[in-house]
Amino acid sequence: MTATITEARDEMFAVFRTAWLGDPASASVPVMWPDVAAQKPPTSGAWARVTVQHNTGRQATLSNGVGQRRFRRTGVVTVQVFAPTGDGQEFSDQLATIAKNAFEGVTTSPGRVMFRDVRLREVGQDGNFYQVNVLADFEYDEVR
Amino acid sequence: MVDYAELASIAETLIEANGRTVTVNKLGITPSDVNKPWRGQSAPAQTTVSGAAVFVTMSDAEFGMLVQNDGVIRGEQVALFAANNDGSNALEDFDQIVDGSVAWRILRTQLLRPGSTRLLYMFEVAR
Repeated sequence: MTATITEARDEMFAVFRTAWLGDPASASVPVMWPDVAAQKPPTSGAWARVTVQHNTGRQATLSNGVGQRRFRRTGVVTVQVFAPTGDGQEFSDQLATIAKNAFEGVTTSPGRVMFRDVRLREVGQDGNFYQVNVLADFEYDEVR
Repeated sequence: MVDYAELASIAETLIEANGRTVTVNKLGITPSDVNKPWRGQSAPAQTTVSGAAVFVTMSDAEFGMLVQNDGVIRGEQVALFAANNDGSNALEDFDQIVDGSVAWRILRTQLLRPGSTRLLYMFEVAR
């Protein structure tokens, strides 16, 4: 199957949201979505921000009988995890693991967005928060 | 000993005499699609406080200069709002000032609070 940009983004966010809400440790941790009004990160307590950034796009096949071709799009989905400091990274590790497992080895349905090279980047402490980023490369095809 | 309660009252009187009535809103969040909160949401006013505010520009007003504490200009104006008019709400968490037909986003809030007296809010705002 293939997906448009909006369908692919929907599936990526849905995969993350299902994993996030499905774990008691993260279910009540607020998530900031990109370009959504009236969202404010909390000043205390953990929170996360999710973004999808497209990177490359190229023609992947020759055209079929009706002139349609596959275009392969790749990019990075990033989950920024912010956890209160002072627990020796325990909670940030827990949340980052949930985010990592949401994407690792996963292919969405029906758009078949594939995730690869899921990795963690410990950014460090800033104010009351310890930040860890979880990044996953993604790839999907669009037919047009 | 400075009587801060009296200063708060003076701030209220001066702002009411020289300002205009605005509405300060704390916005709620109602996702358009509960299963896809990333698809946008309406933001109805959850809590509303009305009162007078004085708008000063960021560059040539002393209070405006106070808000530029990191040297970066982000807002367009600074709205001064007497804390006596906050209706016991903590306006530091509020999101929006509606001034006539203009809805200003609150970028940053400073509360002048000597001791336990809440005296004056300074809202850095942008459209």
